[in-house]
Amino acid sequence: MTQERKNLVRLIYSVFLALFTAVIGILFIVQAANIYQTATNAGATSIYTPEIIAEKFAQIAIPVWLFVAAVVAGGVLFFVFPPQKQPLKAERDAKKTLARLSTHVDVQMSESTFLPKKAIQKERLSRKIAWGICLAVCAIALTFSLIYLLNGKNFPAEDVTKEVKQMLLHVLPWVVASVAVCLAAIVFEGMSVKRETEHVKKLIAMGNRAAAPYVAKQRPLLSVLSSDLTVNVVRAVLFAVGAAFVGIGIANGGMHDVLVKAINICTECIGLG
Amino acid sequence: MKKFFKKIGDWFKRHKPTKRRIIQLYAALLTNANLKGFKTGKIYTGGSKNMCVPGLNCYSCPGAIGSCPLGALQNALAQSGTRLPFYIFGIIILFGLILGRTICGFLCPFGLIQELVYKIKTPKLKKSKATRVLSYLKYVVLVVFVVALPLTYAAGALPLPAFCKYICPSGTLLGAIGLLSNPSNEAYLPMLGSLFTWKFSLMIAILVASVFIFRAFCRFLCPLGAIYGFFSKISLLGIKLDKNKCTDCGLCVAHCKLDIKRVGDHECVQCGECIDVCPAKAISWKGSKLFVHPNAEEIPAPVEPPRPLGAFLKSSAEGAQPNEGSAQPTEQENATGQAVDAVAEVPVSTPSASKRARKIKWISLAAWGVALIVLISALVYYNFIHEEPAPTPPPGTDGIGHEVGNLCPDFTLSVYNEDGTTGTYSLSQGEGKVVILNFWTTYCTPCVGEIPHFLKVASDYQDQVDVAIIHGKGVVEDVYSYIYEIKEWGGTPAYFLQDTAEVDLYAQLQGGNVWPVTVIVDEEGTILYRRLGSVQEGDLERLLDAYFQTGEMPQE
Repeated sequence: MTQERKNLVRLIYSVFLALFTAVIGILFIVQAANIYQTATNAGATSIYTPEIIAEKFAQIAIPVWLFVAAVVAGGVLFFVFPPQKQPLKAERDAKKTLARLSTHVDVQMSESTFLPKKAIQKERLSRKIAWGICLAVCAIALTFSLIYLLNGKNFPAEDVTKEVKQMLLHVLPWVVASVAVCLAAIVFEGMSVKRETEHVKKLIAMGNRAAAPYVAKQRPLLSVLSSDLTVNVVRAVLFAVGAAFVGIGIANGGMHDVLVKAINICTECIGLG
Repeated sequence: MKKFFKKIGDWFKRHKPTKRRIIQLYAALLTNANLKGFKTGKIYTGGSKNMCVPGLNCYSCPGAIGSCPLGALQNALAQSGTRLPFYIFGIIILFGLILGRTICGFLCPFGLIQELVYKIKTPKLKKSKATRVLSYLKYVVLVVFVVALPLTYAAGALPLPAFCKYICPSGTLLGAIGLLSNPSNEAYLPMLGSLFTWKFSLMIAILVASVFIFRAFCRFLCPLGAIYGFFSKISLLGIKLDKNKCTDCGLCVAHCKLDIKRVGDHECVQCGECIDVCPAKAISWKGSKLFVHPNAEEIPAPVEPPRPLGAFLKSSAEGAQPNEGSAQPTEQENATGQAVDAVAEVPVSTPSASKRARKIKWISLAAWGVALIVLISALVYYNFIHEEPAPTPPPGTDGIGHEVGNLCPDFTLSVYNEDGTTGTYSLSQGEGKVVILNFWTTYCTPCVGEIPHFLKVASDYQDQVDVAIIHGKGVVEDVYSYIYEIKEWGGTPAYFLQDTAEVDLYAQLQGGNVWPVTVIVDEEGTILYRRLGSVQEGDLERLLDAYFQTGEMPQE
């Protein structure tokens, strides 16, 4: 069998196994939801009984065993037709490439280089604005979420699950908004970096090269914070703090609390509810 | 035939477990060394649960010998009004400082489960900018479910470990299913409802996602990984990058399946798989000079040589006249602009190098030996030497037992009176009345949530029913203050009792280490009804009304 054929067989089987995996997952979830819904509709006081569990999961026993067999078969297939080792290919980080190219560009403006340099400044400004907007949206999301979370009136402890659901309804939209804005900012940044890289290449092609590569001065505070001495001092302090906290915790009964709560299980706390 | 066996041999050589996998299996076995717990269906209740294990391992797993740090943290925060959580903070700081995210890469049982599930041969979802953004979701989970919710409800004296209760798949898989799969825990089934259905579905979704996405839970949801990520830069163990050798080729980031921006950042689980991939040998283990001979062998990896950045600059420079003295960038430049070779030189073997290599080999063997002894000792101790408290004996000839139909053992326990005095209550005191015994603790959310139902019954059925609300023997705060000052449960005829290690009524009635438990005893002292798990509003009234009308209590 040719290598292409082998690749095709592997691809088809892996897609089949992917679909099968998703189906098995859905089956398990559907069966659990079915048990709950049936018992709730019937007004049963005991939702999960050994008989119902055995009956419902026996219905999906065959697909589950077939899935197990398919997984094993997949392993055998990949043993018989092993995939070729693909050489690792690093994707150049566009930002790092831009940064490295930019060190070779003469910062002095001239008549001939005015337009590309203006374009470069515009791209940099637009990225700053995009990230500014992103940070603002995230800050607003965080503020409104914390306002809700830290307001005790929203959690009167009458029906905890209901209150947590309400909390999710209030907080989740902010989380989704923040994720969406961050994604948009990252995508915009990628496009802007590409455009700026083209302008920089144009400048270099025009012969606008710096006498020597520009090396950014390392900020003194950053170099102090990332130095080995600082790291070791932080380690020593944290070690002392950690050890002290453990000692205080043993003395004030905190360790005993950990033991008591670990050997007397609150059932709902592990999902038995 | 020879070729076939050779092929199998080569396959085993290529796929033999790595050291990291062996350590993961070792850690999973050591943290769940109480194997007999899976057979008996009971959790370990001994002293080693004073200590937290480093990874995500639910303490309700029958095999667990230590506490879960995340569960302990939430419980401590939920009780922070009573006692500041110094102990668990100290434990987490020390774990983070010493081990950092090597815990995720080497010691976490749930991480191991995800990696094994990922081996199923399906197409995989590659990392991208979207997954990088989503990886910050775990900080949201940390802030909301681990910190904010327990603290907010602590202000109302309601303990709520929100992450454990609503999300943790390790608790569902190892704890809930670990207990439920044992036939001796059939009594737990009536407890299950919407919460279990939700958590079971979530666990399945996470496991399915882990088939397609490498370590999906670790990357997007695990708050423990988020906490340990803060220690990445300063942890004593882990991987480090030599910036002087690094050529910024990006192969380490390309090889890594996680959403790292650079090796060793807060997303890195310190698995060390990038070490072999680096052509400049710039990545190594922290402390490697002490234990590991760095770059002792040239490991051939099928890597594409990085595209030289200078090629573009060179071609453009040839087009235009270069200025005199202008710097010509070399083929490979490292982050500081210094020229380095693309591939590190192979070190020449010297007598001192081979002596050092032998020394390191013996140290390594000794370390493996000690680890093996520790594991075997743990397995022997937890499974053969350590004895759990003796189970409640079956009913004797006197008929006293814990099942429905048995006589309830008589007891005398101290009472928390509202005026601050102490008294006693005995079962014989309730002769001629139905007695409801409810076992609870201050740190159990459903226990605290259901007590108002018992207080209402105590008031409404005062002449026919005695309600005894019994706090478990594991006391973590001032129970009197909790009952009468914080919760204001006074002014009812209910008795608030305190169980003791000497009486241990909970064990006599075989509560089984789960809370809450309700037992109803008739006028003659015979057990009418048992329930593990909380009661809902109206349940008790329905049971009592049925009993008073028909003389029999429904077993629902």
